[in-house]
Amino acid sequence: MSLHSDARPMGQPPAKRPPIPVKILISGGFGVGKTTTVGALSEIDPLSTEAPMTSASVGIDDAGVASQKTTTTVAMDFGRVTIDESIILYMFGTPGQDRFGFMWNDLADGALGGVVLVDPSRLEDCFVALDYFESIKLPYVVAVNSFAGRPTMTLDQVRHAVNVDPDVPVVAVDARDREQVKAVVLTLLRRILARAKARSQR
Amino acid sequence: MSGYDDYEDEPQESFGRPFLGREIRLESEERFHNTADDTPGGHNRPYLITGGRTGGGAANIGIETLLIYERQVQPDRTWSTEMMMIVRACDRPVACAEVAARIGLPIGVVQVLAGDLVAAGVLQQSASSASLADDVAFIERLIHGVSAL
Ligand SMILES: Nc1nc2c(ncn2[C@@H]2O[C@H](COP(=O)(O)OP(=O)(O)O)[C@@H](O)[C@H]2O)c(=O)[nH]1
Ligand SMILES: [Mg+2]
Repeated sequence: MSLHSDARPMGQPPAKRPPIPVKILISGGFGVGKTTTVGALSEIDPLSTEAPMTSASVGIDDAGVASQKTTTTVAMDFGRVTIDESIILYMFGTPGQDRFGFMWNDLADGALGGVVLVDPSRLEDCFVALDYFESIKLPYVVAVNSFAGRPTMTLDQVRHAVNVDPDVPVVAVDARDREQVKAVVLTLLRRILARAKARSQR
Repeated sequence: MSGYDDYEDEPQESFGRPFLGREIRLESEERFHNTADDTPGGHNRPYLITGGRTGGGAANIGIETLLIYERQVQPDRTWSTEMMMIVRACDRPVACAEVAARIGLPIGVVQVLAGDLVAAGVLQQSASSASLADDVAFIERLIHGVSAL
């Protein structure tokens, strides 16, 4: 596929190449702070759209049938951050629910990395996202959103409970705080950088 | 429960992840299959708009793919209302998902129609950053950019 046709009229300037979009996924259970995280960094109010997804129920559903597949649409919200004249970052808040393993390939195709948000009082809500990111080898970080006034755990306790590799960063975040969200994204980008460096040395 | 102390006595063991090891199947081609046949009424409309086609198809338009209308091609009477809406939303580089959200069409429909418009030379689409995941200079530029926000 060619993005630039050479057959343009004489005298017309070449079409400017569009910037490159960078996609990162912000995922975790319902109410964990995905939309808040996106909104904290986005230059626009988070937008929402329906994304088609294939889902498989895991375990036993009401009819006693395991792994029944359905097609559904899921509300997904996202925000935009212009990095410079040639890079635009899009953050997609993607739902994950405990009983459904969403087939996220549309969302994850071409994604650079992911943030898995964890609410310590509902740890298991993040398992779907962790499993999915691991299965597609997407670099990710775990961000623990300790809502004020609720029971909380140390980062080490969370790391232990969700059972991630020792090199996966586990950090704390208040999703409402722009600087903290920025720090989480930077942690993710540094992890992506480390992987890129390791690969380029092979 | 009132805080961190409540957890002190709990055993330090993994809760276990029930899905670990479960095969995750990638089946993007099936995205729309059931809806067209199984759901009544309005759900079929997206298939009319796209002539029954689904997904980004040959043009490979992802949800984050940026689209821009370069104005070298004049609007044409043969363009559908939906195509006109897409073209109007692309007056600066804007992601497919953002176009969909702004004009209120499903992403899958915008992917198909934007693919047609790219093929017709009306819209330009961005490259994907997927191939840049291992590009050290690119990631460093990204880090620099986010630090400066
Ligand atoms: N105290 C506190 N509240 C938060 C935080 N993040 C999100 N919230 C609130 O939790 C609720 C759910 O957040 P939302 O971003 O909509 O969750 P989502 O379902 O994952 O998108 C909202 O009322 C937020 O204002 C946080 O870090 N601290
Ligand atoms: Mg939300």
